[in-house]
Amino acid sequence: MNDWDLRNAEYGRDVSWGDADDGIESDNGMLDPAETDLASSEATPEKPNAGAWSQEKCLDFLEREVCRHPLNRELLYKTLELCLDPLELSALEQRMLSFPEAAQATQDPYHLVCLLEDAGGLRRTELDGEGREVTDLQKRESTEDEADDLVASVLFETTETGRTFVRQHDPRRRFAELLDAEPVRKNCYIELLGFCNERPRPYTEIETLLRSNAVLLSEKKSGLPLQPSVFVDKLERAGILEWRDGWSLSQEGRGCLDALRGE
Amino acid sequence: MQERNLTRRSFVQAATLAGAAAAIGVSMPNALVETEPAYADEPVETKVVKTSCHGCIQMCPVRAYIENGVVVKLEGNPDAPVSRGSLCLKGLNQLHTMYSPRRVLHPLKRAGQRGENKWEVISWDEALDLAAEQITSTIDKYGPYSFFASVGGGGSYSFMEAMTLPMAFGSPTVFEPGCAQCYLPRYAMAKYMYGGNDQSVADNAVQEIFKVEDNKADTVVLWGAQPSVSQTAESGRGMAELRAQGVKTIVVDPNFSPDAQKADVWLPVRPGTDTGLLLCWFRYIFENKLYNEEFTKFWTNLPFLIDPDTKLPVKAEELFEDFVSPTPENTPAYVCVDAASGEPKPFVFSLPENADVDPEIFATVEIDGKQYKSAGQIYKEEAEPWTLEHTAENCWLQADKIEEAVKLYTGASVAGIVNGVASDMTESASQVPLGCMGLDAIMGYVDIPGCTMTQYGTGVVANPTSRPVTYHNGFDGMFSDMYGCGAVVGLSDEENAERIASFDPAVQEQFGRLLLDRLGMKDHKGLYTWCHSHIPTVREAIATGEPFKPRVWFDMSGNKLAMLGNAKSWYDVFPEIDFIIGQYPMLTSFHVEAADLVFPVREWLEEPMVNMTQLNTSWLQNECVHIGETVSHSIPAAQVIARCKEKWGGTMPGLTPGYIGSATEAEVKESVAATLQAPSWEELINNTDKYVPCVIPPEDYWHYKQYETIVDDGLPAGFGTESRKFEVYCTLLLKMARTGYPFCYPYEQEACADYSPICTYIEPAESPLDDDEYPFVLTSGRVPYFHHGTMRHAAFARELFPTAEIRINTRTAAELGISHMDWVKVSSRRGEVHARAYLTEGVAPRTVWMERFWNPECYDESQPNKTAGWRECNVNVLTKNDAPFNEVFGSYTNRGFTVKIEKSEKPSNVWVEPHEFEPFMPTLQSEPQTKDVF
Repeated sequence: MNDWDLRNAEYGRDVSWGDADDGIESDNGMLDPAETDLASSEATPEKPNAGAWSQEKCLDFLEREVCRHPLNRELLYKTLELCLDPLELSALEQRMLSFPEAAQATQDPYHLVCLLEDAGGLRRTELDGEGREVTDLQKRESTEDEADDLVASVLFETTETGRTFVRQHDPRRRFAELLDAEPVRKNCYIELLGFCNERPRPYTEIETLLRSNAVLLSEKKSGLPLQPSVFVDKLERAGILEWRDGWSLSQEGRGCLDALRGE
Repeated sequence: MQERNLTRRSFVQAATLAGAAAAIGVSMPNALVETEPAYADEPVETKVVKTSCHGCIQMCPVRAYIENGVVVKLEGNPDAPVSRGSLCLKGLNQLHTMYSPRRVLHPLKRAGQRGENKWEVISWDEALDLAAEQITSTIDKYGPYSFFASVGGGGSYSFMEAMTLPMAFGSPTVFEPGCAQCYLPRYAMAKYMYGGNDQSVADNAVQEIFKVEDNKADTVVLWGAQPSVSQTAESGRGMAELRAQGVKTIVVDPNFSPDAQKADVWLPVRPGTDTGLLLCWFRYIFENKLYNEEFTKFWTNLPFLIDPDTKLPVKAEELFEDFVSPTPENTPAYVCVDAASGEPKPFVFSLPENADVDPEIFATVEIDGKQYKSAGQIYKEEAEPWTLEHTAENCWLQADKIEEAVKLYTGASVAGIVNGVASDMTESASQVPLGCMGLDAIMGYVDIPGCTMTQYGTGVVANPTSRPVTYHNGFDGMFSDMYGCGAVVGLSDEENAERIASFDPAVQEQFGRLLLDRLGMKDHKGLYTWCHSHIPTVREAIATGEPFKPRVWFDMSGNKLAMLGNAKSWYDVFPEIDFIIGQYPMLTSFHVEAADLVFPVREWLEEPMVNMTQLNTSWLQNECVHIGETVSHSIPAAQVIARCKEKWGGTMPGLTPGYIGSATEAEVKESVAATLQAPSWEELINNTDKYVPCVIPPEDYWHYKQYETIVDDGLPAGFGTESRKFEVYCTLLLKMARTGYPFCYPYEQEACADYSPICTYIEPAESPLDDDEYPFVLTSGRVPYFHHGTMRHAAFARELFPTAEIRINTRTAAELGISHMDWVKVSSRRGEVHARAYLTEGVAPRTVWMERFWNPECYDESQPNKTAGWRECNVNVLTKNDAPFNEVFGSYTNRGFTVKIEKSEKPSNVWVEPHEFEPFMPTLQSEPQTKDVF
């Protein structure tokens, strides 16, 4: 039986919806809280816990935070790489500001460093004037002003999770993965890298270079030919190209190009 | 505008003091204590200002009461012909929006991470510079296709601005969550089928049935529309007036809406199966010969013989070698089977009385070994399986009710179908309007008093002197005229070629390239009608970076996370978008999660505009007040463009004129004044009653049977199609699928599979008939408190409707152990959300119904663990944005997908009790009035 037949059987007569007065909608209970209107539980947001979390979970968390904003992504990666050896904060900030990605970052270096610390990628060490670590116990046993005066410098060092992240996302490795995933585009990438190695290139020149490229013309996505910007985007994402008033090779990019040309 | 100065205290002084003294009594001489002067001690300057609501798409005329610069009361304007002084909850709650503590009054730059609700107030100068820097640097690095724009749905202020902003930058990408999922299919199909107005009431296309004088409406079919809820004060009121006059109504809606409750027949169709019901009606009408024979024979193309190889109507010259048509080249003669002889004959365009054939509607004939069927025969065969019984079973209806409805429809002196938004949100988005308009056409319910499809106003469509033509590419083909791409249907080949030859080839080529490179267009060419991109394809491009990556986004709407289908799939690609600019009166989930910069824009009580008409009247949306540094909606983009142009040394990479929008408030106001035929804004404001409403005399507005008018070529005007017939068999769809005609002309877009030229049945991809895991079918519709994503922060609106509700049949609920108002978890293949169960007999046992919702309280300062409020109760977490799509428009599935339901608990952070909404109560009434920013 279909739903209509079942319904009619229930009521013993042919009813259309709305005819049966079962009292539901005359008192719709709008004023009465439902039994399931329970108070919310106050769960705290998760923070990385290297002791309790698996390495994979720690890595996932760090990756999510690093990738949350694309304009910060590469700069955050480079910061983790910078701190493989402990680096004092002011020197770290200066180094970060020297990267081309810093111009586009959405936050200043210190906030980005704190982001990495909160994400479990960096570890902060506070030192006193003698170069000794200032402990939490010392700070708790001091007044607020004394605690501030205790800290003479701050070091940041990449954690184990951060080091794993740096290894996994090394630009050379990213580029190798890119070539493995898209072997038909290899020659196109080499051509583009060589072009940008000569001098920084505006996008318009890259567009002219690649417009008649066979790969661009033959490959289609969503029914459309690829735009030259796809290649720029992929190489930038791999840390091989960077923008310095034009597209140029990064240090790793120059190394990759030399290696490819040597093959 | 009236001004009165009152001193209330002086008015009531004698009475109250006397009363107070008597109440206190002589024994308490020291009871009166001196205090601060009361509000009512100060003189109150009150004025009443004419304006229009913009709480939904229909924009009812309103009177705003302003005391000392604060709007204190709103009421409908009784002079409005359809709303007649009505104003709904959305309009009334505008006071909660205008003065909401959530208002954004200054430009905001993100201070923390995306997802944190931390913002820094910056100057307009800094904000514009930041936006321009991000846009220009991104385009410099990756090219113009890296830019994209988006806008909100029906009622959005910025539709034209968002559409043209990417053009200015040389980008092809713009979208809005409506468009293919809201109104575009119905709007476009009307243009393709006959070149006229569609059957939407919400979008003001249907006006005839709401005439005040001489209203001939007899029967109205509301097909997937609920005016009483969606546009309560205007078309809702209009429908109430009609019913009071004795007009009969048929409502096709899975939900027992207020319109359904008042209907003569309610057909609660299974969500997504409307095409089956439409074909049933066709079958019944064909079988019982209830159609208007003369109109169907002579004014539709159903008698045309169709070439089985091309699927196109055969032209007389193709079958009759010696035939020379007496009509112009762009009014071809086709072929029909003549009833008198039973033979195929040339069918020359003419008035019925001048025809030299009596065309058979249903015919099959063999010519030179090839079998030709008439379009009517093809339709008849398509409809054949849809008997009353089969339809009842498939669509969860009763056969006798279906028959009652179609008899009412066909037996009326005049009837008309109102086709609402529901079908736009399914894979059948093109088929349903094909069916609804096809039905009205074969009944002859076109361009006659009392029907729903009429042409009105002062344009040439309403009052033709030459053969009607139809422009495509933007509204009324505006982009064809601006950039030289797009054929005009109805012009001859020579005329079309001559027309585009006058355009600059470089501009034409650039625009043509933008058309061809627009995402998703190869498969869904109907989107060209509004120059919009296919949303799932845009998302895919962002996610994969191919064929190019849209990476700097200018959005001109509210809460994209509450409106886009499969919201989480969009949340997941935010990390791929470099910079996101928003503009809105307040921060929504989308801004919290994604935006990097937000421009503050005006609410409707602040922004001058001329809105949709009510019949032959146009009304002013007035600048009643202005607070903060908010601006009219078109200004941010215009100002950003100016900055970009400076950075680029005076040039822009896109088209010229490109952006269509005002850069200053003065421009906005002068444009409004000009539209209302006032010499200046100042004159308009000082003499509003003289100019508002702007009225077109009825005799110049209402027109009928234009298709019979003899025009300058000596022939009847006909309709704005190639054949000059109402194309119930829509040939333009076939040409469109194969080449992108008429939009891409003179270029050609790559062909896709043919689009169906007639209504065909499509079973929803997720079907409750065979889905054991998700056994219920979910559909949606409006509630009267909100419009799209608006008003969820309006305290009074939330008190009345505090949280998402899902309507569930009482028997179903009992089976699941769910009681009325229990919290439930609703899950689809995309995600899960929560709602309170509203038990009702008003939906079928395996249908559930849930409106969109989101929760701005989730990021209130009082919340210990803030969320952005889009995951908790948002039905668009559940909706389906992958294939199959509607073939013509790429519409995805917001209604008619499967879910499962289980009892659950209220999500954290969601408010329900009235007192909880106290933080939303308006607080900005004391904000000073401010001058224009630009």
